[in-house]
Amino acid sequence: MKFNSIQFLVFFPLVAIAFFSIPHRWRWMLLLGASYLFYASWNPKYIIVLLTMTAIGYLSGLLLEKEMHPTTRRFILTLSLLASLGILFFFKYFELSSYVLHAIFGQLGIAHLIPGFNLLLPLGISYFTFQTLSYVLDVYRGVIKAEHHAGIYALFIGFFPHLTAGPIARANQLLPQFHTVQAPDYEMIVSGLQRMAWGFFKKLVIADRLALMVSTVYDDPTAYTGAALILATYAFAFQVYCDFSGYADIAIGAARVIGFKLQENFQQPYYAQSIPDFWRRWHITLYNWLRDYIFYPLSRMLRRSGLNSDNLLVMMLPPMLTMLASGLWHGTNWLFIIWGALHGIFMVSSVLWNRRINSLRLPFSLPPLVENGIRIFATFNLVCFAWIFFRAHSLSDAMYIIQHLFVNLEINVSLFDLMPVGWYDWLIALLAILLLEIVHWQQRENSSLREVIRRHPVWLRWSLYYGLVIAIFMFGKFEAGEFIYARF
Amino acid sequence: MPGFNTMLKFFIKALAFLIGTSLIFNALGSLADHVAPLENWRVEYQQRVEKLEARRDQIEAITLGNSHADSIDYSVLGLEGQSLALAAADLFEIEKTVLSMDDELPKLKTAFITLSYYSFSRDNAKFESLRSRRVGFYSLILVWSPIRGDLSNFLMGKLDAYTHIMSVVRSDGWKGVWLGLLPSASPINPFPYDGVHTTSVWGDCFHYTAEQLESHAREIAGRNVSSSMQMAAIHPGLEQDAFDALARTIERLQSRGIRIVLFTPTYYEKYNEYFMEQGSYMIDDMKQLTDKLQQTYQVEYYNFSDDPEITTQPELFYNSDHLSECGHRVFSAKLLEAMESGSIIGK
Repeated sequence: MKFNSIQFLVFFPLVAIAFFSIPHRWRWMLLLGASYLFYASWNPKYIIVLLTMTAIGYLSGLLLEKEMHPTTRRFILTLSLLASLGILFFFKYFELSSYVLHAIFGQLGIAHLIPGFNLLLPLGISYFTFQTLSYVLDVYRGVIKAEHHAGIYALFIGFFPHLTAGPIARANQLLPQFHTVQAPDYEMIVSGLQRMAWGFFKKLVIADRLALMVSTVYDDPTAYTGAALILATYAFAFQVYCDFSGYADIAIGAARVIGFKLQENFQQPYYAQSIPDFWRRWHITLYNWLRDYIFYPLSRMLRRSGLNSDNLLVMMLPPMLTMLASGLWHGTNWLFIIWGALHGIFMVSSVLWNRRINSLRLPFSLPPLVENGIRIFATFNLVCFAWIFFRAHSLSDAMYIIQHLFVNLEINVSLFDLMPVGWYDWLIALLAILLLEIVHWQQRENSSLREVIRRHPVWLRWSLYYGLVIAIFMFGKFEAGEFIYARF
Repeated sequence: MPGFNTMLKFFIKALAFLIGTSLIFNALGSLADHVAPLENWRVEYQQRVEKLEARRDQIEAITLGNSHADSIDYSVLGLEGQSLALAAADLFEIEKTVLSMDDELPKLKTAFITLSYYSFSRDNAKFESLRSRRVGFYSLILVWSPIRGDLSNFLMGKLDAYTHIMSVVRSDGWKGVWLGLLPSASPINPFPYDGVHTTSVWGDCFHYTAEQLESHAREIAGRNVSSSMQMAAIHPGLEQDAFDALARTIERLQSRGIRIVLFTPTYYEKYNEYFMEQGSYMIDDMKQLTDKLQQTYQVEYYNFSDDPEITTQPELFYNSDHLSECGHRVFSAKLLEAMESGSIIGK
């Protein structure tokens, strides 16, 4: 069941009404049942994967809490991590490894007997695996206590709003909420619905509209040059942002309607002034996860080995490996690994550049607005450059696009034909992005747009709500469907 | 009870909002359909139902099926008949159409059901380009249960019946409506016909030329075969399910004492050629399943698909898989003759 499906339009209100209509002690059962139904509607067989991962996390947590001996605890932790990562590896990386091994053994002339399974990637596996890992690691470190209620723990892993594409929840943030009695809160319900509507606008009006143009170019890049390639790459930057942040808006909004607060996953990433800043604003929950469980431990380990923070290895290795892990998290495709590596290089360069700039006494200084503008522009373009690898179908496609970005930059009417309804689609896309930026600007000025709207009279508020809903239906593209990040 | 009051407050406001949305959608949908309609099959079907209602005491025959079913000219058959054919209808939709006809037509004696080559290989439910048509079908037809496994389209269709939502969600993103509302806009026929109008021994008719028929046949036969193959891939066991749907339709009509006449109209020779090239197995399956129906239910089946007197005459074809009005008359005369003689042609 996708968020942008009629089934969800029926499923969600029914779950929400039922949730508030039953006593608190039964609510976890309802939410867990609804979440498993939500997941099973995609492929019932794969619920076993979700259940297995849940069992691994739950039992590991209990054992780690009970066991006091450090060696045994380490053993339990290792076993748990191996089991969780083993499942992820089996479904997500086995095919790639098998392919690579085939190639290597083939070159060496050795018969290679690793079988192929041709498996479907379980929906949301990267998300619930990372949630399981962070839970087990947090219990091991003593940051949180193990959850004893198996149902509540299963709900923490399988809660339907975040199950298929995040935000990746942390146990200390979400688990206590499941134990708290949620009374219907009018403000929460209304703001949740508003957030969902805004997510649908981003997904259906902007992302799925731009997707048509991006697919036209990226599915056959050699048919295009210069202007079309640049335009498609910029369009993809907005497509992927609106698609993924749209999903997060719907997930956060849906959870809020029933009284739960999920972590924010985006904070206007294209206003970032550097690549590290971009990663503090893009897919925040993944970045935080990687930071807490890879970047910091690695940095600490290097420092403990006697290297100081000025050492190049300390400066370069943790961000590079963290970003590589980010690329690998996305999937088995080499292009994701290149995408991650590029971000790693950008991040390291950014750190080194800042240190160099700070050590220089420049004879001039730019007005902050200009300087920030230049930084934002440069960061945005670096991010867009990396998106080429993320979106391209093959390395040769990506290389062709890069080589032809500035070949034939002529802007003519044929560019309109990249969209199904020509200039009109472009106009709608541009107006929708303009609206998106107005909202971003408002959010920068006032952190709560809802507060701004609330200050206006009721007729204006309702007109805005009607306008948003009507715009979604009038200008939305309802044929496309899948959320990009639900693939991971 | 604070929770109850909160919920009540929310529900009242939500209800008001939904009513408002529904009213706005109805207004916008009507405007869009009036200024720049994207589909004419809905209007056509509504007109057919209205005609049926107006003559319900006289109707002796009805036609069911996809657009190929419109080959029958009741004035030639000498019957008071009404077509309830729906463009691109599949056998599941035909079954629901029959179910929706709750009130018996007192004089109804015969139901003509068309069988195209691909009839047993079609399910519009999940095929993207026909999905909106399925939604429109649910919106139009008075049935309250979905075709098996098609809940989402059913819900959407019923939502559309009350909100006009499918007229608001337009594939052109409302471009046609805005352009149509411009003061300088001239009335545009959204469905222009690019054939010719000639007078021949069969009368005055719009039809395609031989060249047009050839190119149309190549395109449409290929498209029909490939879309049917895709539908079969999406719906495992499609042939059997479609067969069962038709069998249930036949049983239901026969239980009311209605004579069932299955027929395949004539296609242009090139259409037959191109279809055979890519989808001959589909034709074989169709014949085999029809045989089974004839044996089980003793229904009549008349196959005129490659009738030599019609299939080569461009004047008799509106396009390569639809007869022209002249073609309707010629075909209907032949069908009448076959029915009267009791012969089963082209079996």
